[in-house]
Amino acid sequence: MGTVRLLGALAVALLISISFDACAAEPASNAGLVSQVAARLAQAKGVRAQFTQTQTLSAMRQPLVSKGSILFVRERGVIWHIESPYQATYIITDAGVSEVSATGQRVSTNNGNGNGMRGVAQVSRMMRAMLGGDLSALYSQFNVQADGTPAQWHMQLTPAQPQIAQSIKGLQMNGGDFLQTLRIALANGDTTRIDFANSALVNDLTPAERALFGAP
Amino acid sequence: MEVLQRRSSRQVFGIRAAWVLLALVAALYCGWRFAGPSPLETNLLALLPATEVDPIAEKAVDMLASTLGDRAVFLVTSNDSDHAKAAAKQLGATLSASHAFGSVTAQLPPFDLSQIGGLYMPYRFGLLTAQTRSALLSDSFSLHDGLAQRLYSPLRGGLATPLADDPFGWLEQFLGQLPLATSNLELEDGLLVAHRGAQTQVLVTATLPGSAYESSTQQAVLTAVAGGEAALKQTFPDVTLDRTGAVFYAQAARAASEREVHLIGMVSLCGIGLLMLWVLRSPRLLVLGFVSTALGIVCALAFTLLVFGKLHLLTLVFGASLIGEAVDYSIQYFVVYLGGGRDWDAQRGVRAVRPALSVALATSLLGYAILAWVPFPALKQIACFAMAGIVTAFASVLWLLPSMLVQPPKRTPKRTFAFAARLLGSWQRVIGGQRTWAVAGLLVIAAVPGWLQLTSDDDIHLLIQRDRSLVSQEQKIRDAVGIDDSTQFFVVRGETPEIVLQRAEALSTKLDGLNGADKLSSWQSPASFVPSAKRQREDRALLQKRFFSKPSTLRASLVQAGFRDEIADAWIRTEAQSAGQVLTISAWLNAPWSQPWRHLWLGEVDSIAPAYAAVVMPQGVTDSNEPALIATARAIPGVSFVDKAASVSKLFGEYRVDSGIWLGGALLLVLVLLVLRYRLRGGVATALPVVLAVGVALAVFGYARVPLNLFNWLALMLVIGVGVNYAVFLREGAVRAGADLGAVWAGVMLSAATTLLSFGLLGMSEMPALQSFGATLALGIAVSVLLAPLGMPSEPNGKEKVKGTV
Repeated sequence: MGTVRLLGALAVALLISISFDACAAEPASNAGLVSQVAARLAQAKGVRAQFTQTQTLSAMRQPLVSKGSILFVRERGVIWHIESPYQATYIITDAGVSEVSATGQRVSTNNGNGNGMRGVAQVSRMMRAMLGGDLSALYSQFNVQADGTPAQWHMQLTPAQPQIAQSIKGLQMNGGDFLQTLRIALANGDTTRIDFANSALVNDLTPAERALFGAP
Repeated sequence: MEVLQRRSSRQVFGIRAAWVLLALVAALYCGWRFAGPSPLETNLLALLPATEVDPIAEKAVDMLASTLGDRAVFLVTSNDSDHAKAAAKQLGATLSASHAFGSVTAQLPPFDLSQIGGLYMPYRFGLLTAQTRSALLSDSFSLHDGLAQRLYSPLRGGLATPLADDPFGWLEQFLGQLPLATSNLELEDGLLVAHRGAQTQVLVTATLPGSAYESSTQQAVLTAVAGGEAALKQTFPDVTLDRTGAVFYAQAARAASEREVHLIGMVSLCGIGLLMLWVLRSPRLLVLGFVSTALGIVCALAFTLLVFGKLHLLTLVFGASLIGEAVDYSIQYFVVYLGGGRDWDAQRGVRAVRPALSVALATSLLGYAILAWVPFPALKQIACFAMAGIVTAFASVLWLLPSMLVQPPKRTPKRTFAFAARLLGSWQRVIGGQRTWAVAGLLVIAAVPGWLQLTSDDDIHLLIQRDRSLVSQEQKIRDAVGIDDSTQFFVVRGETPEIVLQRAEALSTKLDGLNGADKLSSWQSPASFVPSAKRQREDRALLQKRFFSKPSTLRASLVQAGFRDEIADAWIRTEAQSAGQVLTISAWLNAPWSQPWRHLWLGEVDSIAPAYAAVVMPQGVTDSNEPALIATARAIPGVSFVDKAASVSKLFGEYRVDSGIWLGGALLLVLVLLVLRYRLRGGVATALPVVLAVGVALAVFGYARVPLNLFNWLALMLVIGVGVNYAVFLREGAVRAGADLGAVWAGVMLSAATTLLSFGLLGMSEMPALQSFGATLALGIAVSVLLAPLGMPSEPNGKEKVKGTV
C-alpha cells in the first residue's frame, strides 16, 4: 500500500531527528526507550542529513541506489532532495506533496481530489502527534519493540493493523544520537534500506528552503 | 294526516339509515387503511413541491433521497479511545441482535485493498489522469525521466501498483485520484475512527430492512436503539451516542404531529363541548353537533385517503383543527331550532338557515379552492380534506339534523340570548350605523404604519421543521466524518450510460477550471471511477502513438532503467493483448468495494424514452460559489444543479408575491357573491368586516415584526372564506322573519369561539406552516367576528324586530 511507503518515508523524517542525551547512557525498558526517543523529538526543531537509499525490487535486475539530502522541520514538513541518479526535490507538507524539478519548476502537486492527499494528511497528523510526545498513533498502527541503550538502539515496528500488514512486513531502525539506518520490508518481498549520515540539528532555514515550503 | 306522518317517519328512517351507512363506509375504509401499513406520510421530503424544470432531475432527487434514506449512522464518542471502540463494538452487537436492522457494521471485515487495483488492472492502458495525460502530450516528456520519477520518488499514491504491471506508475496515479475518501475517518482495528481533540469518535453504520417511513420499521429501530443506548450507558457511562438517518427524522415528525393531533383534538373537543353546553344548555344538541362534525371529519379523512393514498402529517394536524369550523353549521341550525319555539317545523328550520349556510359554504369552499391551486402537495391535501369535511358537515346539517330534531325544543336559553342581544345592541351602537365608515377609516389609519413594517420570510424550514436534537446530532456526525450537507448536487442525464459519463467528464473539466472563491474543495463523480469509453479509447490511442507503436524504443528504455528483460517484454505484450478492452460502469457497480459510491449512479431513470442519470456530489458549496456552479451546469447539455432547499424557498417567494394578487381576486369574488345576494350596498357592508380583518391582521404582523410567509398569505384567503361567514350569519339572521337577533348573535359568537379555539390551538403547533396558518386565521377571524355587526342591514324594521323580541 502506497500510504505505507509514504509512512515509511515520513518515519524516516521523524526518526532522523532523534538525538539522545549523551549522559543518558543507561539501558532502558522497551516502552521507556520509545518514550525517551519521543521525548527528544519534542525538543528538536529540525534535522538535516545525507541519505543513501537502496531499493531491492523483484522487477529490477539490480538494486536501485539513490543519494541525496533530507531536511525535516517539525512545524513545516519535509524536503527530500535527490541528487543522483537524477535531480529532483519533493516537498511534503500538510497541504500536500509537490515535486520541484532540477530546473526549479514545480512539476506536480498532489493536493487535489484524490486519496493520495488524504494519506499525506493522515501521516502528517500522526507525525505531529508523535512529536508532541503522543505515541498513541504510533502504537495504534504498529507493535513496537525496542532494545539497546539510548546511545545505540534498535527498534522493530510490526504492523498492528491488517490493512497495513497486507503490504508491509515491518520496519527496522538502528540509531544512536540520530537515526542511522531504516529498513522497510514489504509483504511482496521488496525491501528498501536507507542509510543516514552527517545528521545535524537545524535551527534556521535558508531562504531557498523557506521558499520551497511555500512560506515567507 | 296519519298517512302523511307514516310517510314522513319512513322518510326520516331512510335518511338516518343513509347517513349511518355513509358513516359506516367512511369509518370502515379509514379503519381498514389504518389497520394495514400506516397511511401516514412521514417522509418530510414528500411535502416539497416539484421544483426542477427537468423531470429527470426531479426523479433523480427522489431516487437519491430514497437510496440515502434507508441508512442509519451512529457515532460513539468518548475521551477514552478504548472505551469508544469497545462501546462501538458493543453497540454493533446489540443492534445486530435486535434484528431491527437489515445490517449493522461496526467492525469492517479486513478489506483487501488490492481489490480496487484489481478492477482497474486489465483496463490500465486506457486509464490516465488529467495530469498524466497532459504530461504525456507535452514534448518535454522523456521515458527516462518518467521511469526515474517512478523508481526513486519517496512518495507513492494511496494505492500502490506492482512495478512489473505499471512501470511508469500511470495506473497508480489514476488510483491515487479516485475520490475514495473525502472524510476524516481512519481505519483502526477495523473500526472507522475520527480523533478530534481529546475525543475519539467511532462510526457504526446500519441499513434498514424496509422503508424508513414505515411505522413498523420506525418502531423497531427506535426500540433497538433505545435498548442499545441504555446498555451502553450501563457499561460505559462516559460514552455518548449520536445518530442520524431519515428513519429518526420521520419517527420524530410522526411523534410530534401525533402529539399535536391529540392535543388539538382533545382540547378543541372539550372546549367546544363546554362552550356549546354553556350557550345552548342542551346535551342533546351537543351530541348532535358532534355527530355532524364527526361525520365531516371521518368523510374528509376517507375521501382524502381515497384521493391521495397517503396522509401528510400536516393534513392530520390541520384536520384536527377543522373540528372548530365544521361545527359552525350545526350551531347555526341549533340557534334557529332554539328560537323556533312550540311551533317548530324541522323543514321550515332548514329553509330558514339554508341561505346563510349556502353563502358561508360557498365562501369557505372558495378560500380552500385557492389553497388547492397552489402547487404544494401538502396544501392540496389540506384543501381537499377541508372541502370534503365542510361539505359533509353542511349536508348533514341540511339533511340529517332535521330528521333528528323533529320535536320542538323543551326550553330556550332566553337569558343567554337576551344577554347576547344587549351585547350586540351596545356594540352595534359603538361601531355600526353612521359610524361604520368612521370606524373603517380609523382602523385603516391605525393599520398603515403596521403595513409599512411588513417583512417576509421564504425559508424552507416553514415546510420542513426537523427535530432540533436530531439536527445537532447530525451536525456532530457530519463534523466527525468531514462531509457537507449533501442537499446540493449536480444531476447528469443522457440517453445512454456512455453519454452520461461523457457529460460528467465535461462537468469535471469545467469544475476544475473554476478559480478563486468559485472553486470547489472536491467532488465525487462516477466518471472519476469509470471514465467514458470515449476517453478510455483516446487515452489508449495516446499511449499507442507515443510509446507502444515503437516497442523497441520502449523496451530499451525499460531495460536501461534496470527492469528485467522478461518484465519489460511481458508488459509490452499485455498492452497488445488488452486492445479493445474498456471498463464499463456495470463492471464497477458489480465490484464489492464500489458499494459506498453506488448511489452516484442512478442508472435507468426512464424506460419509455431511454434516460440514464448520475449524480455528482460537490463538497464546499457556498452562497458565493453557487451562482458559478449553476452557470457551469447550464453550460453543459443534460446537466443541472439541484439545490432543493433554495428552489423551494424561491418558489415560496414567488407564490408569496403572487398571493397578494390572489388575495385581491378572492376578495373581489366574495364581494361579487355577496352583491349578487344582498345588492351593492348590502354586499359591500357584509364584505367590509372581513376586508378590515385582513387589513388589521397584516398590520398586527407588521407591528409585531413577524415576517410574513406564504402560509400567512394563504391563511388570509381562508380568513376571507371563513371570516365572511359571521357577517353573513348575522345579516341572514337579521333579515329572517321572526328571528331572535340575540339568538343569532349568540350563535355567531359561539361559532366564532369554536373556530377560534381550534385555529388558536393550531397557532401553537410546532410546525411553522401550520403555526402561521393558525395564528393568521385566529387573528383574522377574531377581528372579522368583532366587526361582523358592520354588515347588518340598517333598515328600521330590522331594529324594530330586535326590540320586539327582547
